[in-house]
Amino acid sequence: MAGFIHNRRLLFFAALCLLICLAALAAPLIAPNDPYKTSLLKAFLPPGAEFPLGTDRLGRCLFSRIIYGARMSVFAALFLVGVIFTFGTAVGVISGYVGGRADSFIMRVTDIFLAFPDLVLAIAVAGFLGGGLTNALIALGCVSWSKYARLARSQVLALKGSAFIEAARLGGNSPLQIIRRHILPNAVGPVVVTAALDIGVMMMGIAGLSFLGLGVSPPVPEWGSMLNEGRMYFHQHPAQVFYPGAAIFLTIIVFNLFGDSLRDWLDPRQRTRAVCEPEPLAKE
Amino acid sequence: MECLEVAKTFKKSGRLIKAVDNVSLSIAPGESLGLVGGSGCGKSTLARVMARLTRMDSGRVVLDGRDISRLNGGELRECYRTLQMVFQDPFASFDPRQTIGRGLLEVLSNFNVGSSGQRKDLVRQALESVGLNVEFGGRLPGDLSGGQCQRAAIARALLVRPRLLICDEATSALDAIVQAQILNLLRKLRDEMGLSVLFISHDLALVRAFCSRIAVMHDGRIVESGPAEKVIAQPEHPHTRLLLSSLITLGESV
Repeated sequence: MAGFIHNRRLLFFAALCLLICLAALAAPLIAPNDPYKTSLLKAFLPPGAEFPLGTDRLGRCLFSRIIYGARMSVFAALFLVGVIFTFGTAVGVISGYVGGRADSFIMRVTDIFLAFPDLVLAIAVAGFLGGGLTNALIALGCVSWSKYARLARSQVLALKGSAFIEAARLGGNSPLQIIRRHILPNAVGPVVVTAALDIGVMMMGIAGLSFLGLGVSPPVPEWGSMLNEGRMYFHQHPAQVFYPGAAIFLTIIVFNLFGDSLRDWLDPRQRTRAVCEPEPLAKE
Repeated sequence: MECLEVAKTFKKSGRLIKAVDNVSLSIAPGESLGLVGGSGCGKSTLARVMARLTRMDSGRVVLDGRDISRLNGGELRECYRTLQMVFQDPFASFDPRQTIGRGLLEVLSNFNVGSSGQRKDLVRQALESVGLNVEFGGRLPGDLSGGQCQRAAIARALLVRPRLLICDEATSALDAIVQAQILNLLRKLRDEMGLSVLFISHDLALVRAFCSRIAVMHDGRIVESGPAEKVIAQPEHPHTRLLLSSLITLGESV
């Protein structure tokens, strides 16, 4: 873990991610106004002392709504990624380790899911289940777990035949112990990186579904639905679209760059380099 | 240890390849049997079948009078108290993320050897017995040299005090000097512990230096076997002669 501290880029983006999460958690402390309080007299106010970013068409504080909206985007995305990461990895590891018919069956199922364009399938599922955040999450989860299953499986297949897994078997490990002690720690790196990069994708997915009216339902503050509400007043009041859009943009960028730095840090080639180098004779 | 009529066939691009073709061999307690043959003759496959790492098509593997060829799960794990193996690539046979010491401790706890307090001592003794300092226990396999890593692999295999050790080309990935060191180490430990060894190699000279009996394998069959001196002095099968004539000695021009 020592490398984590010395990797400034990774540390920087990890800190920014943490900052966004903290801001979302501390929304009631940061937000100057109640995000639900409407007042038609104060509609479309420009930024001022009372409303730092102005107000929307119902006179609600834009800044407060964006801060509260971060809760939806950030935590829903983190939760979703956590669930599909766990589920997809478990399925992939089992599929890869067990092999045979179970493996073929599971992989055909993932093929079916992978064959659909993500957002189209998500819209179909969300449309079928109806609106609401839970259904949006189910829809996004349905379309994205298969990627993790595939990735984890390929990692397991690469490891399964290696001598250290056979050595572990000779060392008295049961199949479950082999998976837990030797396969998971060696297979999980690339999957974690995918998960980190997926946080941004999920945020976009949630915002996208909400924008289409299939995600979070009004009046709950959420960036995607704020964008959709502001869309109608775009010409007169561009700020209505600009601020939620900028919030989505910046948050996704930060989480993606975090995932990117994480990948650079965990790069498997850096890890195994020592193994490939010819060993000097003198050491023996 | 005996294996009887073992057969294993692989399917490769539609063609059946008989990797091991009804091979029978036995190793007496305390005996070192050398299995020689060229690449792809099936000697490694035979070893893996005997260690139950690969499924066999037919035949039996008998360990101490007990048929182990159909054992599974816990019963098979118990067999590994008696039978252990050292692999060709020392680095690949260790989990790259696990320190050597933890890998060794894991074996002890899996087989319930000693109390948890004693295990650290046992690991230290095992490392010392193969000529490694205790500090190697804290290192990752990637931080060791090939020879050190193979010593650690031998220490790991001998932790449970097995009676049969299968060495599958255990020295072929090492350079000549380290190879000799590992061979001497194996010889020393074999004599100390009264081990039976199945020593697999493509190098007749190495096998002769280590084994009392030699079996020559060719195309999935054992074509000749007998006391080491006899097989080398009076080879009967043409393939054995070919292997012998291919040995390059110093001073000879190829």
